Amino acid sequence: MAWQKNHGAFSMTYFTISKEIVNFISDLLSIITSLIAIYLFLFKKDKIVSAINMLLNYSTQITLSELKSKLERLNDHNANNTEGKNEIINILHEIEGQIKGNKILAETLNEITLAINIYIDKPAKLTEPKKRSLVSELRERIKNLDLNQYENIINSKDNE
Amino acid sequence: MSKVVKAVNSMVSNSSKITNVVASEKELFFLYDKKHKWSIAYFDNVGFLLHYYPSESMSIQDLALIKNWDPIPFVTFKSADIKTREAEESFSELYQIIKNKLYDVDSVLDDIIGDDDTDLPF
Repeated sequence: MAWQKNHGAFSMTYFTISKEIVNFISDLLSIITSLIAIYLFLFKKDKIVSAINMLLNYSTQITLSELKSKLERLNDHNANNTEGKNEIINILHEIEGQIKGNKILAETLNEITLAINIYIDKPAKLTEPKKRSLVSELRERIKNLDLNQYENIINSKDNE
Repeated sequence: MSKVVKAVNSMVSNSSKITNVVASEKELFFLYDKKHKWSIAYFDNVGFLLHYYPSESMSIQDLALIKNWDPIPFVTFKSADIKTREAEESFSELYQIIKNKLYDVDSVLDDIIGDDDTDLPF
């Protein structure tokens, strides 16, 4: 039965060697993976930050496009008649809520919300020209915010 | 550009400050708040054009008579450049107000309404 013993020893060595190889490969792979992680963290930090920012900005972007469609709705109504004015005040309420709900927008559009509040409190002050001024200013601010967001993304790409 | 729209709407809101309306061949010149000289025009292919004249020395009447605009400083605002509905409506209302002032439509209307009032029993 000597050959069987020998065979067992051979299979044991074979097993140990293959285990060593597998271990070595797995160690090597974990080193490579952590190197990639460290490399990404050290050299591609901006990319990771911009990816996270993009996700955060996504909600702002959606709010901005919703606000844009609300501006068109404001244009559809005339502040010179009571019915139109009521509808305009309702839309202004919606816009105010939407701006206040987003931290970035609440800070940057603070002045606009103050103006909107005045009209909501005293609808008599809201005339057709005043409404058009408000729409035009809000449109301009939203456009700038939109551009700023794209600029942020482009800038972070340039920094890579 | 939103500032122009705001300014135009401010002029519309305070239309009593618009004075000295003079018509030239293509444009309507007017004075706002006794100091700012403006003109407004409408062309089918361009839309509304609003001009501001910084000149201190020239009066509205002088500006309306000018044929050669090369040496005259002015700033142009086009409603077509702003491309928004509120801008188009604002320019249009201002144009209408200036036109009414030119022909003194307000007092004509007041006159007609006045006729009506005399018929009232009270």
